[in-house]
Amino acid sequence: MSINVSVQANGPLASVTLRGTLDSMSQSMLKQQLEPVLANAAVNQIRLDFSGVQSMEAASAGMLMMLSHTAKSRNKAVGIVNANPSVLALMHKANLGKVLTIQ
Amino acid sequence: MPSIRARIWNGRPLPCEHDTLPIARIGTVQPHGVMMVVVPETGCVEHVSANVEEILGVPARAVLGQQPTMAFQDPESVRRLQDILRPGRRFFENPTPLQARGRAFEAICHLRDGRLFIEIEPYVTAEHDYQTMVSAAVDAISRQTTVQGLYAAAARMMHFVTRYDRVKLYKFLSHGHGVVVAEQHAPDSKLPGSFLGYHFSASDVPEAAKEILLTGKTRQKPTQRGSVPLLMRGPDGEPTESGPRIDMTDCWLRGIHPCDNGYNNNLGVGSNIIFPVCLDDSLWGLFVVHNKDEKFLNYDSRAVIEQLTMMFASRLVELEAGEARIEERQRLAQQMVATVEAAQAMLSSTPNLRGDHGNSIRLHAMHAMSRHVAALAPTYVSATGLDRAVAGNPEDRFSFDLLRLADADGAAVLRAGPGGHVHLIGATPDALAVRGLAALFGSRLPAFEEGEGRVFATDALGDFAPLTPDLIAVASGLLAAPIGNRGDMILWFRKERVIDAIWAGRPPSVAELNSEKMFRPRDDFAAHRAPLAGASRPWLESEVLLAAQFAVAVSQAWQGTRRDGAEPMPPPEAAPVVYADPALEPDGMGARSGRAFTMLPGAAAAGPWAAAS
Repeated sequence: MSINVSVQANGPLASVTLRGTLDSMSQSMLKQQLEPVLANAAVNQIRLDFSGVQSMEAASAGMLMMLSHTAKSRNKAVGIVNANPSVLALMHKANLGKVLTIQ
Repeated sequence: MPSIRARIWNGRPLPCEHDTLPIARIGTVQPHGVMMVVVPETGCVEHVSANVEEILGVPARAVLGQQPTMAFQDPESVRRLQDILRPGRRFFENPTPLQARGRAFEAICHLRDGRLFIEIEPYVTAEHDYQTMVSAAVDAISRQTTVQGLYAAAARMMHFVTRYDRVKLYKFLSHGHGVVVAEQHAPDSKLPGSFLGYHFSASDVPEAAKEILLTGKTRQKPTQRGSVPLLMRGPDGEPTESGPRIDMTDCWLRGIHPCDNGYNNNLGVGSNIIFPVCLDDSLWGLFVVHNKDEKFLNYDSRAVIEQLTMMFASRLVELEAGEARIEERQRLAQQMVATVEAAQAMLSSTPNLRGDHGNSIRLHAMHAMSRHVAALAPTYVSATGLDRAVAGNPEDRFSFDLLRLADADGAAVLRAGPGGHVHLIGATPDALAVRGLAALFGSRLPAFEEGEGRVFATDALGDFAPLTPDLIAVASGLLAAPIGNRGDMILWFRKERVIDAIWAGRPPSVAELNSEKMFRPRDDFAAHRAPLAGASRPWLESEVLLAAQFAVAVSQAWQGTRRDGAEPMPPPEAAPVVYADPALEPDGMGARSGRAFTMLPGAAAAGPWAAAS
């Protein structure tokens, strides 16, 4: 129901650490927090650390797809790391790997 | 932790004879593709569909117990299948291109219940490549600024990707019924009939099918030609039907029930696809795509459409919240909580005011505060006439704001304990009925869970408790949030909304729902006018979340835990009663009547919103 987002920008790399549940209610908070990152011309790579994400819902997967598309249009690549097995399974089911990098 | 959606209980569909159809374990496979179920540890085929010989040229008897590679001669296909069979694989980059008998196929793989499912479908080209389709979808979805515009754009995009004759966007309503909220036709559509605005009965989607749709699984039925059995090796070594052994929830090729085929035939549909729109733990609606003739979409096109539905869901939540002015209501809630906090802090800091008639300035301030927070402060009554208690007047700003916060028709604040009372605002049941409803939590209504999101919402209260018609009219919609753990509660109400609905065919009666008729495909889709009653406007997740957060904030304000250094408030039942002067202006911090005010401890409130027990 809630998500904590911390952003660290270090030159061209922005590391975004997420903790909590990514669902239809918390997705807007993530989106808000990522807006300055997307607007930062110095950043060309956004790394979303999902190690603290307990679960993710379909609408959030949709939000990540749109985020990736926006990032691409601004010459930024989006990657997801450290997702737990259940979140990873949902990402694969949603074919998220076709639009962003999942490690 | 469950999502806020799990706290929203929409009206339940009436039980239907076909609800328990074994749809996931149907034991059959659609005829256009081959399914192999493999034991990962051995890499050998345990089940295979009976059409394997027709499509791949190898009899089922020869495939069972062997590796899937034996059905392919093309070296590259064999290598790719060996990679799929590599021990320890959990995820697959679908689809995998294969060749057999000079034809191109795609393998789509997934794991379930310790088995590897390999679905081999014929490959067909799409009108657009994946990147073109997904870019167009993202652009179309993200550009929308209204919910209705989003509906229309999504239906257009579905047609852009599928090129089917007709796309319907179907939204579920209370009691499992649904309504077509958007429709897109191909310019040369062979299915020109429109269902836009038509309602469909809940019984059209069996509960077992909804369970599968809730997993987000898209359903493609390229042909209505029936299904073929899934086979396994029998005791004598010969292939025998697998029956219900295999759960095909995640399979594209899962067989079709004859009733489903008949339904589509009666609609004049030769091929269809169903894409569920899932919002957290619930099924919001479906994209239903129809084609007059048989038609098949390749995997990438289906992947784009699945992604489109997810983007649709994401954007829908944003736009619904925008149209419901949730941000504005969040600010309103913050202001209201700040008012309650200020009043509580003032009451906490003036314990010696009792009987102190000289401290009129502070008392006036307290009075003004309490006037605004009457519902949410300790017990509050008017000094000069209990029947004029201002908190209950519709013009009272705080009361009005409490309704605005949840976009409700009425609200009740229930205070438990010896000094308890029920404060009613707007259109509500009477105080006794409100107490009765509150008492249902933990029995007919679920108990409030601990942790985040202690809240309950329904748009069809009558499904959970036997209500009189009067109660259904005023309280079909209930949103309840506890304040603390003492039994205090805020309840918001929405009136019943009776829809003058046009149905696609007459909805079945209760007797018909419980008859064999439900196993025969429906053949009546003619317009039928009948009211849809028993439910209110639905509560949005963002509204329910806001109510839960507001109740938590009020609870913390009452306890004095929200302000650093603030003293905790006394228990609510022991809190002081503020006698207010009704002559003061609603915002009357500065208004003075010159009357004396008296605080009395522990007195129960009376009047129209006073104690009902």
